[in-house]
Amino acid sequence: MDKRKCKETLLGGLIKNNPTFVLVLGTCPTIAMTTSLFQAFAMGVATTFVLIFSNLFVSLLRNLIPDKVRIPCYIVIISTFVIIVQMVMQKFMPDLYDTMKAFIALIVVNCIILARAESFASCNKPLYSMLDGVSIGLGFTGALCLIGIVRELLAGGAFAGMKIPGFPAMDSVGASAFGFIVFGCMMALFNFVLQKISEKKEKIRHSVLPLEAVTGSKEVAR
Amino acid sequence: MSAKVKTMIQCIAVLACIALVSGLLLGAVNIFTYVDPLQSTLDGFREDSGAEGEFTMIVDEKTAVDGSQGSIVYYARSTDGVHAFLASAVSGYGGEFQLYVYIRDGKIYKIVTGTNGDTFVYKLDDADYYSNFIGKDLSSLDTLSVDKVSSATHTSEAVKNAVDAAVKYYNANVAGGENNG
Repeated sequence: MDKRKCKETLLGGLIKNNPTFVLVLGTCPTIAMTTSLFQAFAMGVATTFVLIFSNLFVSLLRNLIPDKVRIPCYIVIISTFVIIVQMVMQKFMPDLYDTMKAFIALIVVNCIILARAESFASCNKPLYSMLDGVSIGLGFTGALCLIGIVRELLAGGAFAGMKIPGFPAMDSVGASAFGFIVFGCMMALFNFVLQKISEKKEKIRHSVLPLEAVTGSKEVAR
Repeated sequence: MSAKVKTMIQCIAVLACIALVSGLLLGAVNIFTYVDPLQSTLDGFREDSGAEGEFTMIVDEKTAVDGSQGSIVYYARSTDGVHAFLASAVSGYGGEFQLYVYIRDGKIYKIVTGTNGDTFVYKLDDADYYSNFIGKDLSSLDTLSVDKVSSATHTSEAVKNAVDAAVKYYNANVAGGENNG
């Protein structure tokens, strides 16, 4: 097991390849399920579960699945785990399931899951594929929760279902159009911060490394 | 056997095997997670209503109510005279809005918010909106004339329509004698 690859896989989906803010995948559930923090979290957890197990099984079966029928095979595997999520939610969280059922079913065609099955799990070992599922799932859940917090706060003047006294609520922010605006603003902020961090790292690298390593000159950087 | 046919058979076999294993897995999970919708609704009615008698399901499929924009999803009656409705209406924001309405002696005595996708339901609680319907005589209650809650107009409209469906169904089919139901 390559520790460096494990670390890269695990951290990749959280920040560098964040499915929502960087890869801009899964926009439909992002807009639909972020009207409240609780729904956003539940959607994220459900997607993470499906991602981990579909990645694992796609990776385990990658040498058996013929290339021509790989997509139908992935869909069958993904839909199996989506139905398991539905069954468990219906039994143990019926109220939440009733609110989310349309979008839980749509996880089957969530492009994040299909993309990871096709681009990662189908050409990597099961352990790395599971780690990728965890990483991408946590990145997706984190992004949904951040958007959910902002939208719930602005639309309902509440946090996690608890109303904040005196906080002005703007009902229209709950609508999908404003959801897109909030999503866009947060994506811009995320990428701005990511770029600043990357620039800072680059500066540090330049100031520490001999200039020769960067420019080919024999002068040494301060 | 040509290579093309071999490939085709291999593809079908793999897909069938995956589907078979999926089916077996789902069957196993289903044993532990099966929920009987009728039984769970009856249990919910019993818990919410506080009725001591046994409930009997009378309407167990979504039924439109004449003259109302709402509909009845379930209607059950208990042996001690409680009429329990699961009514539903379409909300402008979050799709279907469900409401549990409990009636005893010709009056609504309890309303419980059911499944819905509306964000602003708490505003109805803040405004004590259900008190507009609770305790009123159903034979003269005009649900649609009740004012909406400001900044939760779509949600209040859905509640009004759902209560209206339960009241109209009760007045048309139940009130005036238990034989009517």
